[in-house]
Amino acid sequence: MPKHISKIVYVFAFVMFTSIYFFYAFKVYLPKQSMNTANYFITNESSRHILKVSILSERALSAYIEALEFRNEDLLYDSIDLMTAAGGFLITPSFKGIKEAKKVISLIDMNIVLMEENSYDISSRQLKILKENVKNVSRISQTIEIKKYNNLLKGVIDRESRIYVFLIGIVYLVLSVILLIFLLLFVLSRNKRLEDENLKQQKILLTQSKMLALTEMLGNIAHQWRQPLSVITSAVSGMKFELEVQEDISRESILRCSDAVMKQASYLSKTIDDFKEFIAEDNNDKIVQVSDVFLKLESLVDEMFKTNSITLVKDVEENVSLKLNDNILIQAFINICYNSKDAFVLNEVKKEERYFFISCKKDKNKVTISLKDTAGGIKEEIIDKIFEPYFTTKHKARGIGVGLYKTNEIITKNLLGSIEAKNAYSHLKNKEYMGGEFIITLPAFFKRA
Amino acid sequence: MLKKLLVFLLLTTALFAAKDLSLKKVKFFGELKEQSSLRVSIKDIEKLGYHDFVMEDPHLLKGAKFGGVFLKDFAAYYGKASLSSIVFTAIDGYEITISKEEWQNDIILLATKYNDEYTSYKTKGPLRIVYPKYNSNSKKYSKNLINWIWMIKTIEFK
Repeated sequence: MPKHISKIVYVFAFVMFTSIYFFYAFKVYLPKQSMNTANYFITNESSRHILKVSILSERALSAYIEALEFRNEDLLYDSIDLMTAAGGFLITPSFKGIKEAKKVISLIDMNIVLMEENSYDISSRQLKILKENVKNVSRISQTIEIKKYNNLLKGVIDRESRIYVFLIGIVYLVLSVILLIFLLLFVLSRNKRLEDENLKQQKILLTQSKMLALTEMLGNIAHQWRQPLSVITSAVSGMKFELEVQEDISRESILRCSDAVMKQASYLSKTIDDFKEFIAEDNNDKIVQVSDVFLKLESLVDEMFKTNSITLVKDVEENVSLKLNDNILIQAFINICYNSKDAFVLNEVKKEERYFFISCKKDKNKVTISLKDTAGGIKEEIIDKIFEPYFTTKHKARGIGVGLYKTNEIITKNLLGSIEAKNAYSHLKNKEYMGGEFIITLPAFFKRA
Repeated sequence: MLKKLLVFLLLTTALFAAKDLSLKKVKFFGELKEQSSLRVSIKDIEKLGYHDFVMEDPHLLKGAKFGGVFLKDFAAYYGKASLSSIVFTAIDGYEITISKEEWQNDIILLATKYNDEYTSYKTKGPLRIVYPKYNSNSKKYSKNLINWIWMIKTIEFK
């Protein structure tokens, strides 16, 4: 839910900002700029000049008509000067290239000539032309004024548009970068969370797998302890009986009994050590001999194999070293062993035909370990799924489907090796057996010369 | 068509009958030495001492040669001793006042020629005020640009 809220907030902020920006640009900023342009135009020198062209030519005409009426020489010369000056206001760089300005100048020139040449003796037709010319000067001046204003406004709008495009570009770039950073942070935090969850899940699976193994092993250990405990009990009760019957006990009897008790106690102690070592969370890699790993494995699964009449057949090369955490490797092997045991039981394989083969070979820079049983093999339709988590063919009471998944995880991720499951035939005592085989490949360890 | 022909003929005639712009007269009035009003030609004004300067025309933004008389000499010649300022009025009514202090402390030219030629109202003549020491980077002269009056029609001595 918070994720969706934050997304909505980002989008809302983005849309709001853009709307406010454009509203301000088109409703406030641009009209203000247009007003400024208009004000500038009114006070602009060339605008004032074009206005003067019109005013002076009209004043010149009035003065000329008055001069004609009163035969006043001063007024006559003033009118000619005014008309000349009207043209003078158009000769500035700001009117360069405006064709209407040239037209106004030619009209003014024509008026000057008419006034100078005719003085008081101007014909009514010429006076009419003079008046028309003055009207045209005013009209064209107005056109020039509008044209200049539009040009000025266009220039301002073009300039402002360029600034807007640049600013909008910057704003969008900044917003995009901010959004990108937020998205990146969001993705990173989500990935971290997923990673944490994955790690947590892995831990749960590891614990489940280990607990399952422990539960089964505890049962086996309990069974494994019965025999030595029975020996101890028998030895001690035999000694007690001897003492009760004979009222005396020989030195030899005490020593024999003590030896038997010590031997069995030592066996019990070893069983506890193996078990303790297995459950200890030792994460450090160490250099181990593969043969030692299998000895430990054997001690841990021996009772289970015996109970289920499974015969262990080992073909392990000596002096093959690995650098790894042997405890997790043993756990991976135990999962396979228990899986085989379950297969033997489930497939009701005859007790005399229950074999579990362990072989190990070193090839260049890798060590190939094979764990194979004679329990009939894995069904082809499920062989690709056996390493998936929570996949099981067993009854719920017997498994939850994490054993082989965990084995795969340990081999591929923790020990950087590979594991393959397939069905294979084994030959023993002139007989052929079908069973599942797990081929594990691990990087070999070489001692430095 | 007839109108265009008439314009052509008139302009051609006017070209041949070009007037001598140096004879153009400007009206002076106010605190004058001898009388209260007189009309003086451009040629007569130039007799007070002609000086020319090559400089930048701040309005056309290009180099130009301005020639004329110093305002200091002009004021001394035509104005009374008690003269304190001169008011120049252009044909369009634009007006500026230059004080005695200004023409005594700075070089001010009453220009009669532009690029060695007399000027009419059409070419911002016949008289105009020019500051020969003008420099576009100088704040003082930038402010003075409003004093560059042209198309002077009357001069009042105060």
